[in-house]
Amino acid sequence: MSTEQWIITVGEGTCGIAAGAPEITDLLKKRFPEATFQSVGCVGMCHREVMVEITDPAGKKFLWGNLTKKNLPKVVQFHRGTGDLPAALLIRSSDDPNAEGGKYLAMQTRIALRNVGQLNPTSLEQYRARGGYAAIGKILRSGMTPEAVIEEVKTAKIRGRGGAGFPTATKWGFARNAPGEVKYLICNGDEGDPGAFMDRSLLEGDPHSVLEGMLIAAYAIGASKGYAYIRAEYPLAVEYFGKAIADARAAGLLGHGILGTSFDFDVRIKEGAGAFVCGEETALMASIEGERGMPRIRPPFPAIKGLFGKPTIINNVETLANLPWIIDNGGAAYAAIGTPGSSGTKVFALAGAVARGGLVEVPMGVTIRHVIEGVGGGSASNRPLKAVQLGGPSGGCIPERLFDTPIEYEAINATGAIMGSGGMVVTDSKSCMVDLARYFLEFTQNESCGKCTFCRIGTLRMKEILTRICDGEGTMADIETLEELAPRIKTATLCGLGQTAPNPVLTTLKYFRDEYIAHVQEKRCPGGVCKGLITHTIQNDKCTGCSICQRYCPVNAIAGTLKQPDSWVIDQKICINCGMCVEVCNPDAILAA
Amino acid sequence: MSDKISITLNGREVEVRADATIREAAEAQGIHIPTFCYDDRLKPFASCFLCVVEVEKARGLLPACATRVAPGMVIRTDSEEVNKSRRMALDLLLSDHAGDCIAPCEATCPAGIDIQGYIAHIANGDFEAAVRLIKQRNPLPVVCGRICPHPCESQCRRGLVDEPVAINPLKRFSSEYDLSHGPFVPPPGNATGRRVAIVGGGPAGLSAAHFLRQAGHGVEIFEALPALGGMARYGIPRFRMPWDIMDREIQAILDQGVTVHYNQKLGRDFTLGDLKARGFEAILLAIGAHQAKPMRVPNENVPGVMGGVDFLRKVVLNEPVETGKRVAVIGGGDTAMDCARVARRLGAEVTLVYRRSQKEMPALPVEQEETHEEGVEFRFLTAPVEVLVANGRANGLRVVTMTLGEPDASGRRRPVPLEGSEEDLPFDLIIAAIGQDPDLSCIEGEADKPQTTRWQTFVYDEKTQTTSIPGLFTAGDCAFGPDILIRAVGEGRRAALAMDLYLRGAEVKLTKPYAISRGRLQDLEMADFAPRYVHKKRALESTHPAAQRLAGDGWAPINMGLDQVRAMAEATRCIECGCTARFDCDLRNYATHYGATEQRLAGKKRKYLPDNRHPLVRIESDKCITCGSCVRVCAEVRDIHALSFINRGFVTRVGPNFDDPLQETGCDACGMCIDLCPTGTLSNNAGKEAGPWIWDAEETTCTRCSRGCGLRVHVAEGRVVKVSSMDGDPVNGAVICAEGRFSHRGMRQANHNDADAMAGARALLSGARQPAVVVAARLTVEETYAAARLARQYNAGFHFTSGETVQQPARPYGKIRGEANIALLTRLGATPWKAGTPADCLVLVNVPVAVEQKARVIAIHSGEPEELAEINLAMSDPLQSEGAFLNRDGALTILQNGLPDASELNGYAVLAALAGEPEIATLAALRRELAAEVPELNPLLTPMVGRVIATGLVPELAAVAADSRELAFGAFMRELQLPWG
Repeated sequence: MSTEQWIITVGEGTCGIAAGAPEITDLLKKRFPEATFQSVGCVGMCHREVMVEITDPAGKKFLWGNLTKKNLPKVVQFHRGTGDLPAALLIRSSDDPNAEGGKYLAMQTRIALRNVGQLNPTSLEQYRARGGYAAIGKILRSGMTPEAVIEEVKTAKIRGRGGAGFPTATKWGFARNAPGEVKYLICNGDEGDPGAFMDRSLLEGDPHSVLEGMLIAAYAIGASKGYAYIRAEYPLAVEYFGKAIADARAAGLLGHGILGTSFDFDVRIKEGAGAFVCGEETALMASIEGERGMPRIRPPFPAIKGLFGKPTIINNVETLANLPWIIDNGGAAYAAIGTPGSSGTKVFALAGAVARGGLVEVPMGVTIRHVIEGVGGGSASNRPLKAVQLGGPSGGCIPERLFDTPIEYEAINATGAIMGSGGMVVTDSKSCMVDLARYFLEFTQNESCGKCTFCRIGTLRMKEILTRICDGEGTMADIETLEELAPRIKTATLCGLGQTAPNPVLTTLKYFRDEYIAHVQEKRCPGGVCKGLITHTIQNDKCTGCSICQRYCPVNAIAGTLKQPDSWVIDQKICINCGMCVEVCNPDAILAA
Repeated sequence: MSDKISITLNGREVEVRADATIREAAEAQGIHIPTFCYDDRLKPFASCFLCVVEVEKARGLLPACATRVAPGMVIRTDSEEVNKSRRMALDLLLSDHAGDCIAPCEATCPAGIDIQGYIAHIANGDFEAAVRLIKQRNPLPVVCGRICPHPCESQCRRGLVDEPVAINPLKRFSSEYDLSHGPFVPPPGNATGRRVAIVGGGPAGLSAAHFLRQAGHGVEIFEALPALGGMARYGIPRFRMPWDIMDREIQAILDQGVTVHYNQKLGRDFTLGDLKARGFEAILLAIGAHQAKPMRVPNENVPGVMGGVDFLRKVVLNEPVETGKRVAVIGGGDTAMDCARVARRLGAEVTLVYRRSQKEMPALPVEQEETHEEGVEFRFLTAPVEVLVANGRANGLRVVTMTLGEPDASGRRRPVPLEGSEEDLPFDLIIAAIGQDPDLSCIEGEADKPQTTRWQTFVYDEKTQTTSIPGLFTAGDCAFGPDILIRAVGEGRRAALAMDLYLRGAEVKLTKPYAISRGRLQDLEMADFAPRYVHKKRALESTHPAAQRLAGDGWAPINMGLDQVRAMAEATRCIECGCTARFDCDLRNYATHYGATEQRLAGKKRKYLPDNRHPLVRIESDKCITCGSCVRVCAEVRDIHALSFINRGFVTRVGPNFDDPLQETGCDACGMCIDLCPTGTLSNNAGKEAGPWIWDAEETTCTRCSRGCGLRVHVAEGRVVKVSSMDGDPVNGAVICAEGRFSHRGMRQANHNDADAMAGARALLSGARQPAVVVAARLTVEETYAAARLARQYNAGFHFTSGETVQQPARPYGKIRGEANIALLTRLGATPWKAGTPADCLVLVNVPVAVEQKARVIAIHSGEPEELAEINLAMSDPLQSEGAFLNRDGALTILQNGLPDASELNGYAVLAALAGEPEIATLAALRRELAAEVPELNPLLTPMVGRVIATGLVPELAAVAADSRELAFGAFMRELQLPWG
């Protein structure tokens, strides 16, 4: 389709901005003064930021990635006909939609992320142009009853995407049936898992679909007030979502008598105070109420007695983003995707040792391997992959040999990990599973609200033991203590934070016990990570004598003569095992063991 | 729907309230479920996870405090799984709990004497109470006070500040004070009819005798020597341990009803078999260690060579000892010093021969010094090789010079002889004081011999003092081997407790409550203690100069100990490191019950200095288990929010908002946080006036406002040490205010009324033409009635002080100021006192003087005397009184008398005495007459159940003026710069 003009679309989510998108936009504006520019959210290809889509006057689309000030001229020259196609920067084009770079998107099924990266998130018009607010319109204009909406969502069989996977329609049913005039709907955007950014991308990239999801949910449960609890560390999300609320209100999509019906609903943003535990429903409500974010015991469940003592539904951002699609296309269509027990799609934040990291939305039922090796392109370093940590600090570690496990709630749970909110951290052979478990435990320890004995003190004791093991001071009795503590922490804590905190330890103990034993008995870190247990040596047969390691060594422990591979040595008395030399060595000549 | 449902609780099907939590249901069935974070006054919090129970089909264990019962629920509150989980919760909490449950002095003392407790009594000037406390653990404090090497002082935390507290001199002072003013002889227990034989009347035997008599058992001591005391008499010279005071102390034990058989030696005069045959059901072997160790050198068995303990004993027994002119004492311990000093007193030139250097010498430094001062020559690094003999008698010693080699098992450097350094020294008497062993030859003839060790001691269980033979116990030097006297005393007591269990047919098992310690003194940092205290020198017992010590025959006591003033001053040096909550800490109790320890899951501990900025409330955050009860009671119940959680994760703690001083956070010092704290984190910022000691608690009523809240008054040794709220009390949500809690602080009280003052007051009243009685509106009903009778008796006006309009308290559950239920006053004809009412003589009962005209004033008060009164009479504070108080609901709330000897100062008794109506000066008589006059108060006459009793008297609330007590409390708070009123 000919557009007769240049259209340049720049990914300007937080990630794009961080990678330098504003600078690239400025340059492009100078080179293509005639072009129409638009800004979209993050399409999810973090490994290719900065990304720009250029549509030429002929209507041909070219999606470019990894743009920098340095390589941008090649793209400009290509479009101006003065240069060849810079293939390395091209992700896909109208001519070659299935280019290697395009596979990342091609292998996904995008429902929640359907608009992200496709529209200007601050534009209500663009959202409407892509079918936005049709779902709530359909509900209100057709006179669909709340029960019918719940029924539709029940047919879709969607389960809460926040982590626990509780059937959304069932939860709504509780609140719908709970007595009380006042009910609340809360959008949980307090995404706290290190490495997870699905909610941020949705709130930044397609806030209206989340808002429409809130309208649908509020209508279903009978809520007239809603809160969007968004963590304060997401300023762009807060800004865009705030604009979406204002625009929707101005358009009669929020407030009194929505779309001319008797349905009232309005939304306020509560900026989270940056506590991981506030992602937990009861702590989140305490936080909105102005209390310290500490979980409360359940029952009573929030659906019966929640915010300010009223029936309250808390839905995750991703869950909400799915709702308009479900109403538009019917619950059955949604249920047809995925597996009978886990319908629809799931968004993952793929990170770590994979070639292509970023946001990935796949249908339930595909294997972990499909995500990691297919979408993610396998190992980034060519070293064999070892495991994947699923579900962030609350999740568990799944070893490579179980990568054929299908992505569905029950199958994932059976491995000891959890679906969680979708964090997916891949590790390769140069990682230490004990260290990994310690990292996540340290996170949960710091984020514990301090209420429950087992979480407050128990997780620290576990972390201390893991630290001892990593330092080569662990004993077999320490491993026993870990195994004794972990199940008690899981059962004798009030909220999901404590109940899942031992998961990384339990799963690594289950699948990588040999690594623990190597640390304890052989005083050896198989991954070559634990500083107390490794030494760095230069393998002179591989060394080229380039001296780069010497330049990067922060303690001047490396010496040798330029271009004389045999001369290079690391002074072990000085070396602090920081691993910087390993990182920079091109021929991989430095051995950490 | 029925309001009862059926559940299965620990295998039993029971009916419980349908809306109950598991905890409530269990408590209703008499099953206690431990908890830290639950309190009836708070919403369930469910954080400590101590209350977990097992519920069939539930995932994991459930917190009983917050889980509601459901029909058919199958619950186990005591399964192994539950106990394991509870123990782990406790292990975790202890692993992060700092503090010394009991002070290290007590923990170090082998007899476990409550040292901090008795030092507090001494600081308060109550020396008798100090001795009563000491004698709960040690019936020989005078003996110990003179000679104990006081290991307690080596661990005294004050040592980190400047110098350890002079613990032993304080014990000596108080126990000798007691000896000269008593002594205190605790009454023996009720006779059990059981008989126990104690073989050996030394410290262990005497201690056992004391505690066995306390338990009511018949005790007979069989003593081989002519007098009791064991090593304290026969091994320690009397210039250090004067016999007269020792005899009196021992007599106090015998006075409890102990029979002694002197000169009866086991194996010579009787056997253990004989004792059993004579009907003794349990026997204690406490024969000590009286056999000197040999030197293992040639010729040591010739005359002129003797063992140290043999030498000392002979001197005590007045047996002839040929010291000659030159005496050698071999050894470096306390016995060697004693031998040397005795030999000096017998006129000899003494040389002390010790094979290592002075640094390694085990005798206490002060002993070494004194010995040296008395003219004893020390030869270090010298060891005997052979006794030189002439004419069948020792006439010298061949010695060799030693050098010090590698450290041996004891950590001291091993002495090695220097070749060729032999030397012959002339001596007339050689005393080998290198240690002693028990003499076990006494049991050789027994048919049933107890097992013995290769160190010549009995095989015994250190926890229960039992030997290998049932019914046969052992204690002291013959059990453990030679050690210090206080250890024998402790073992004697332990043996007595074990024997008591044995005699009662119970399992012989003795457990100690769990106690956490901050660690050994050497591992602690000065900074944790030192900055908080003003440095102050330790009081020293000054020993007489050597010349004075040796003057006369040299047997007079060598020092005088502390005097009263110095003792009291020294006692204030104690920094009270033992926890204030030692007697009521839930953490400690549960840890003991579930066998939890701080070591099992040891790791990093939080470390904070105590917050003493609030003069009434102390916060020790490093003892906090983060149950949040304090934060919640302040916010949820009082709506004050003065306390909050600070930080996240492991370092979460509670404290005043923004770590400001508590008094600047809106706190009104109600102290409910103290009551709800399950550990010693929040406590009364009291100091030595509150011990801590074991207390008796009485439930009484606060009369400071019209609510009539329940108070629990903790009394120890006649002193109110603490006032707390009463959980479950029906009035005011079981919450009390600062005035209810702290009014006893600074309460000064006369203990009797001068007869002249009483007579003068009566004369004054009789002579008055127009007298008036003005009372505070918030007296007890008995006091009010007695005041009314007083007014009638003298035909006086009867008034109460009215005041401003009622103000509601600023915060929930706070004090209601300026209000009283005057229904009874009205009924008795009292009218509001108006300024200018003509009167020429005023009787003011707990009201401040408000007279403008020239009237003569008699003030009756339970606080400070009225300055303007002509005659002041004292009446006890209601905390120390009995009676009933009419609260704003028209109910009678009952006062108990928690303190002894206050009855004559009860307000009603004072008023009745003043009225000249002694016949109504008892509670019963007054109540009879009152009920006859005011029939609505008839419930006063029936036996009372509970603290709150409904009456038929319709409440009549009126505005009243602040009374004297209120004003005094206001002044007290102002003095502390605390907001009040």
